[in-house]
Amino acid sequence: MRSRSLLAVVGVLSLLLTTIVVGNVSLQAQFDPESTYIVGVEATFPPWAWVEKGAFKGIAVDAIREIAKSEGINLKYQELPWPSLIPSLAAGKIDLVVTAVSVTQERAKVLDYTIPWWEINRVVLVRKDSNLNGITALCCGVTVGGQGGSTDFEWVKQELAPNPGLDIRLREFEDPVMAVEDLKIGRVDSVVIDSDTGDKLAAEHPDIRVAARFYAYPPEPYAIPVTKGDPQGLLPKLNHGIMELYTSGKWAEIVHKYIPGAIILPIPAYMPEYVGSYQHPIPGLEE
Amino acid sequence: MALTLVIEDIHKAYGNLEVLKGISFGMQKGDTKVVIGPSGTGKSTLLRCINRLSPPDKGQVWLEGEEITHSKSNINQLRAKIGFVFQDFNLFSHLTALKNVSIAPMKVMRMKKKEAAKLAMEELERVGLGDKADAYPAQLSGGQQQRVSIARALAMSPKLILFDEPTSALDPELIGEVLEVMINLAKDGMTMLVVSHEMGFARSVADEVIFMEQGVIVEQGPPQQLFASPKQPRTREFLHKITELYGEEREKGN
Amino acid sequence: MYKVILEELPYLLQGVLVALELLLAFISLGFLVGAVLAVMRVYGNRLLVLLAILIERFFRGVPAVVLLFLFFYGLSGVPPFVAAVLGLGLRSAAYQSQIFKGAIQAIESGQMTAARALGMGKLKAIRCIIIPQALRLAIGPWSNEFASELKDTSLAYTIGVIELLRRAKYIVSYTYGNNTLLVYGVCALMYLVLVRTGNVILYRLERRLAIPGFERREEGG
Repeated sequence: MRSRSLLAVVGVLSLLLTTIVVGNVSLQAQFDPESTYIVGVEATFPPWAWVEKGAFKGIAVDAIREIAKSEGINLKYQELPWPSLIPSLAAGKIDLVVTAVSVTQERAKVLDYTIPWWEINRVVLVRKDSNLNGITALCCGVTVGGQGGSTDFEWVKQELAPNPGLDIRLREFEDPVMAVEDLKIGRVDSVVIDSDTGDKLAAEHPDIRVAARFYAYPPEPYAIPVTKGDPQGLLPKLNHGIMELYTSGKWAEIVHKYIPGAIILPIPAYMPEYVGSYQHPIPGLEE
Repeated sequence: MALTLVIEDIHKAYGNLEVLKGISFGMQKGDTKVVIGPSGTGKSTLLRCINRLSPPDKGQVWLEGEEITHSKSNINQLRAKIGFVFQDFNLFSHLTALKNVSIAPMKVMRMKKKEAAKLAMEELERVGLGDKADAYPAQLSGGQQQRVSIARALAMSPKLILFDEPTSALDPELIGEVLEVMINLAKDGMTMLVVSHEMGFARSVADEVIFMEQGVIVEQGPPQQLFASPKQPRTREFLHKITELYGEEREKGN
Repeated sequence: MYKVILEELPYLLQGVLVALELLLAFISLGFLVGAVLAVMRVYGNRLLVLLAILIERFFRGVPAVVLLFLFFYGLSGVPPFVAAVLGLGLRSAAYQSQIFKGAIQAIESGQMTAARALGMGKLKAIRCIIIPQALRLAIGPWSNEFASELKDTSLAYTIGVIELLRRAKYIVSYTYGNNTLLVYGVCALMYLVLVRTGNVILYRLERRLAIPGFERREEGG
């Protein structure tokens, strides 16, 4: 009898396993693969994308929702941590990424971008009680923190750290909030981060302040990346949708909902030459 | 008359140590033979060679005309016809006494559960343990466990039962109940090959006693003859030592 | 500060469910494959033993996150949850097979000998005599494995399984890190409750399956 109950337990477990696995797979298949696209979201980057009580919120999220409505695209959202986002896009596991993604030359080799909708600058955050300024926060024995893989941190890593005369140490974090946590407790001396998030964080934490603001030249734009070669044919729809959003004024509405008083740049923002999908004719835009 | 068991020229070595150096004998249906001899002379090994638990290096074994040692023999089927009672009982610890006895008929002979349970009960009662059917081995005394293990062997209706020092691991006061079962079995006509030190048992029911030493059969013959007037000097030496060890009373008592 | 936690509590508890679902699925996979690997290791011929050893070495030697990535990026058309079940499941199989191997080897060899002597084939003896006993012996060490596997579910966030820990991270993010300790503290508490509950269940199971007359291990061990 006892062996039998053991066997029953094993049997139930296997059944459970199969059901769960199959169930998840079939749930996936319910969406018509033709017209549903998977959006990769990194939900730990306010004000661009986050999750509150189970719902996606943020500038990028609201924008893509509007675009999907106006262009008639079905979207399914898959949240992934930042280090997994670009590789997943490159591998085709997701079709586009909606969060604050900068356009860079390296990334343009493995991705295609929609027209840019934002430009960012950089801020350096320090503890309020420290006397570091924009220069001393980036030299002379300090430890600099930032989000690994972000353009801000890459700039520090590639342009500043290799210079022995500057004598800085680096500390990489998975997201900016963690970097600021370590700044507060003194594990790092400064954090380099994009201006929108940086300003927000400085506002939320009275014990940190902005030490300096860098204006990137040439400007560093944000855009929506898709897989190289745009296999799903999303670029025309997305570009059209972004322009629609801008010209209808909805874009300004969304941005001001999250960053009141922010300056709305005209779209398309600065388009670097090295991006293939910025060569004319741009998909989705009438010439 | 066709022989139940034929053993011919069995050799077995473990590494460099040759344990069996050419053993041959036969058994008829209903025979009870007891193998005696000093420890380490290969008596247990011989039993394990018979049902190929330890395959012999050389030599052959036939059970009712079927060769066990043949490479193409259906060894499981043949083993099912040979009962084996171990010195350490080896009852299945996760099963009740009843289940221990009924599991082989169910799994090997594909008997239905009810039938097997009924059969198991009969065999347990035969060895005097009908009331312990639902006990687990850990709850039984050594003597009881060994009797269950005999019942387990009997349930398969074997042509032959091999006993490997069945009472050597038992406390002295428990030996009697096991020997009693074995004596009854012998009287009922079971073919039994027993390796044991129990001379009293040999005296009362053995048809033949085989004395083995250093991997060979030194002498064999009916117990009265072998015990009273052994032909070989080594046999005499051994019997002397045994009698000293166990004492005259035990022999007489059995 | 506390208000946020209370509002997010249902969302976090859903994360607990996801973690449990993941755990159940991959630990079952690990159980089945682990049992097979253990039998291969103990009773197989040289080829099977070698194969089992290679599989074990690989899945034990590669970090869990790397395994998750291998399955996520390596298999096309496979949703994150399934990739996580496969990756964590096969890793669990490697660890569980060690437990089962130990349990099988702890069983006296006489059990197998007696089964063979009765005419049972090797596989039948393994199935009817060895495995039922091995499973009982395995429950104790298995509860340790269970606790560690439960905590490993939090690694699945790297490939997009939104379980408890990731949800906690969300809360920390959008509150800009103002209540980090509180959020993660609540998280830790939930994991603690899960592990303790699991251990209690396993202990009860062990008691129910115990063979009368045998020694049992102490609770809390």
